[in-house]
Amino acid sequence: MPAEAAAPAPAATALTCPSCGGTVAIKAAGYSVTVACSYCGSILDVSRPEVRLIAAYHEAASGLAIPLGTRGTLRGVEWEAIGYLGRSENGNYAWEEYLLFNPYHGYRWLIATRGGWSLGEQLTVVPSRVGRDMRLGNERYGAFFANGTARVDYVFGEFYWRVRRGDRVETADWVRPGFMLSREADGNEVSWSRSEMLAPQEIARAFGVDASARPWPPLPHQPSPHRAFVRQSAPVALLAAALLLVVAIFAGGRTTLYSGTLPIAADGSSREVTIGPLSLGRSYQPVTVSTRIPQLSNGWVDLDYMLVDRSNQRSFTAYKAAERYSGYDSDGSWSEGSDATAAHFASVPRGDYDLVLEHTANQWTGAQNSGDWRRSDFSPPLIDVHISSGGFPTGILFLAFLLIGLPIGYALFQHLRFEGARVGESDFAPGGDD
Amino acid sequence: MFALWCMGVAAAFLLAISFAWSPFADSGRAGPRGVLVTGPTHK
Repeated sequence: MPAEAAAPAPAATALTCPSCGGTVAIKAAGYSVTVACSYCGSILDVSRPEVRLIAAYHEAASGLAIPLGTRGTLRGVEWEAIGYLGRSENGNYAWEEYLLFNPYHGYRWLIATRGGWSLGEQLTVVPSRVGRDMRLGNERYGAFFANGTARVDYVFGEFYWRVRRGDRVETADWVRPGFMLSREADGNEVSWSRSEMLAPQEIARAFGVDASARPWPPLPHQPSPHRAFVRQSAPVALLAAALLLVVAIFAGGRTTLYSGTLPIAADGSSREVTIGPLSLGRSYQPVTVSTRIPQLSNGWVDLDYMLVDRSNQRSFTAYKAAERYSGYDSDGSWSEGSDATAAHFASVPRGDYDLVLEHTANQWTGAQNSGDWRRSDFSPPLIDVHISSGGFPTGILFLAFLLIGLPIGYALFQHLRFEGARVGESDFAPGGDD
Repeated sequence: MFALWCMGVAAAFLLAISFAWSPFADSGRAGPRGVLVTGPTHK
């Protein structure tokens, strides 16, 4: 059935309701075939000169979000709401449809479902089938609902076809973000329509309805509000991350300040060694003291570090312990710990420094082997010490990546949650009936 | 808005680099000597 009105534009006229005597205005005289009396709700046949009462229906249409006769401008065209259908899936999943009319642009539908509004238009072409999907022009619509039944529960106003309460049609729907393609079929005809989801502000501006509700689960064709953010922000995040990586590579040069070997006291007593001077040339730099005790076995070494500025005796302190253990149990051999450790000093100002290193070697008394690693005749215990400044800022770069990725990760999570809930309503959802 | 957020993070990163600041460094903290539990945690 063509959606566009042909010239001449239909005129408004009025008739008297044979049920209640009220004056019923017809907005699209010559096009409308049934009219519901706005006073008593009776359905009238206006397709012939003698107006005939089809059904007396006395339920008032007082609760409509858009009272019939309301005019509103949508996308530059002024529409008048002339008809209302309350429909449902045999009593479940109710939705509302308002028939809009403009003498020069014909008919459109305003469809309200759980607070979401769509503008629908009847198609004059039949979409082509692609597998279980449909194609309309260059747009592909994914299958969403199949084998539904839409029943008319309420009817008010005037329509361009004969409509009665209880009318049923078989329905199926296909969607793409923001759009829905619907097929309705009864025993006589098949009609196709395409509806577009309206922004809440748009419908509120046009007809003054409260469209603040956020349908949940989302409507079948409701676009994810998070998709645009994820798509637009991902390249920005990658660019920012790449720039930070380049900066980190250029700023991450490492300079060796000292590299040597120190003896460890075999009797477990503490020893203090001063290494210096260590010259730091940049305004601020990180300093790393790496130590390794190759002979360490079933024991640990306490390592106390104090980096002291020679000019003012300001000190930076740190403590580390190198631990390494091994043994056997019912599952076989096991080992844990490491013979190496590193202390990181941040924001060390320019100057000449001494590193005061106090170390104490310890033996784990619970070890299964009786040997003391500190008293080996073949390899006396030594500490390899390596001091450097600068270095790749791994930690701070990781933190920056985390901060950059956090908003995208949150939006992606919300998007996946939204899409999961939306697709979960489909007859074709994974794990669904179809 | 997100670009502004990234610029803020980048600025904070550059500032941290110039001051060689790191939240993961050991300096400035007293070592947990006497509190640190040594010995294997195996089983």
